[in-house]
Amino acid sequence: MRIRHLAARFLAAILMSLPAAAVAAHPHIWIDTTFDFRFDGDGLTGVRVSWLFDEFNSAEMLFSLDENLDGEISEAEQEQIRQNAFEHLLATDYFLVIFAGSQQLDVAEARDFRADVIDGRLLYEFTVPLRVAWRRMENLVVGSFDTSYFIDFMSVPARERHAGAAGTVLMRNETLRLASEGYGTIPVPAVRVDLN
Amino acid sequence: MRGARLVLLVCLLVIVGAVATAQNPFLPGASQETEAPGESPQIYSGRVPRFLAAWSRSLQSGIARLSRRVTGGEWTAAIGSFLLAVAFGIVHIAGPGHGKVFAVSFFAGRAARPRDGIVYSVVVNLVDSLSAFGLVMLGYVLLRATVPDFRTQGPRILELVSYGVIALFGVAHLVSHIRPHAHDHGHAHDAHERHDEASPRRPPWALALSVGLVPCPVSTVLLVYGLANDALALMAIMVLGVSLGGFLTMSAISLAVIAGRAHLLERLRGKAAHRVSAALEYGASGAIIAVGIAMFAAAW
Repeated sequence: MRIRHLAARFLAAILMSLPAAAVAAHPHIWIDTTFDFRFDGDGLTGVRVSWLFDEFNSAEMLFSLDENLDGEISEAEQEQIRQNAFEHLLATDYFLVIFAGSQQLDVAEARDFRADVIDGRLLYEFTVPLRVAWRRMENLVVGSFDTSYFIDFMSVPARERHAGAAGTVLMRNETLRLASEGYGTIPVPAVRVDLN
Repeated sequence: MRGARLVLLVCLLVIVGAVATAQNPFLPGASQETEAPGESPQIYSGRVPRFLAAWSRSLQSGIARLSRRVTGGEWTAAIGSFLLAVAFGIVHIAGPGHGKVFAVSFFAGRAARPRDGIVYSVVVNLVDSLSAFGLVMLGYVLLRATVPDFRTQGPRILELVSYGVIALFGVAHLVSHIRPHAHDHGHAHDAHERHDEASPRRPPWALALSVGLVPCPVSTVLLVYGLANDALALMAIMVLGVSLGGFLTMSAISLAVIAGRAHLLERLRGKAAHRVSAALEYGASGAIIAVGIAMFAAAW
């Protein structure tokens, strides 16, 4: 009887804990994002994204990712991290939202992934290819957003202007308001790209 | 009996560990959990003020900065770090999530004393801290020493173990139900328990336990940071600070709901009071069940 009683309590505790786990939403990971936009003669060719994780989550991630725990990411560890802890994020579009006017653009598979450690904080860098012609370079807005609101991204441009073939490109901060999964509308720091 | 309870506690920690770590999409093994955004139950539909996220970001960064100074030998910085941890806890719990909807629904739906709200908030935040500490000790210290692959495959191992444990207890539950004597006795016991749970003068222990059981990821990462930087004691104090802040916010919310309900019913008399009381009770129970089922379905 005791086993039955304990098992019943145990199962009840598990069932009760699952909904509670699901409601633990609001930001628990903080990432400083930098967007470095890349251009050629025809327009925008991609964006180099940098994610600098907060110190506490960096410690937890490095505990799993830095195999020899030397505080540095070796070439062998780079590939392991890319395969085991980054590649799958394509399913979330790497948490990127890209709008050209009212149209949301697709996010292609990232390339040139690199992981580093800077002052105890984990840094991910990767490039997302894009193709936006100069004539469409109006109201282009790029932001980072986790719809579950588990991650808080703070996004800034790597530089404020670029002298392009069709004119000067201005990059400045803008706030998007995007709907989260169940927690209302979240203000999302983003970067707006305009051809001047 | 005490040994069996200890085993149960360890198993439960493994399961909540699997649930807790699965939330971080950047950990190895999370690839099985990461999906494209989908439909989720709507807990809140308004605008979330940016200052909540901005304050959380600044406060956690401040805790990190001051903690570095403490580990560098400047012990007085621990006071500032602890105060920031308390402030972080206040702001963190005020943001969306952390099961506040269950507390609000519960206290809106039944007569409760202010003491119940305080006890509820203490239990949630204390269990959260203890659960985080148990999880980190079990997952990052014990299993790391005994299972070499745990460090890089932790979430996956926890997940496999947890499903195995659930299956085993499911079998034990089924077997004991098949035995007729145990079945009858069990029903009598369950009825007694239901009677206790229904008492309006009893703090919501089960609800508090279920909300606090899965530790806040912030508590676990603070402790892991402490392990990695030989500052476990310091970070355990920071976790207590965050829990203290969480307690303050959760108490304020619970007390406001308890007082609001009492005030509303006091102003109404006779049938109207009865009707409002019944509506609150059924509405609150319905809300808890609906949100619980919707969340369970979303997490499935």
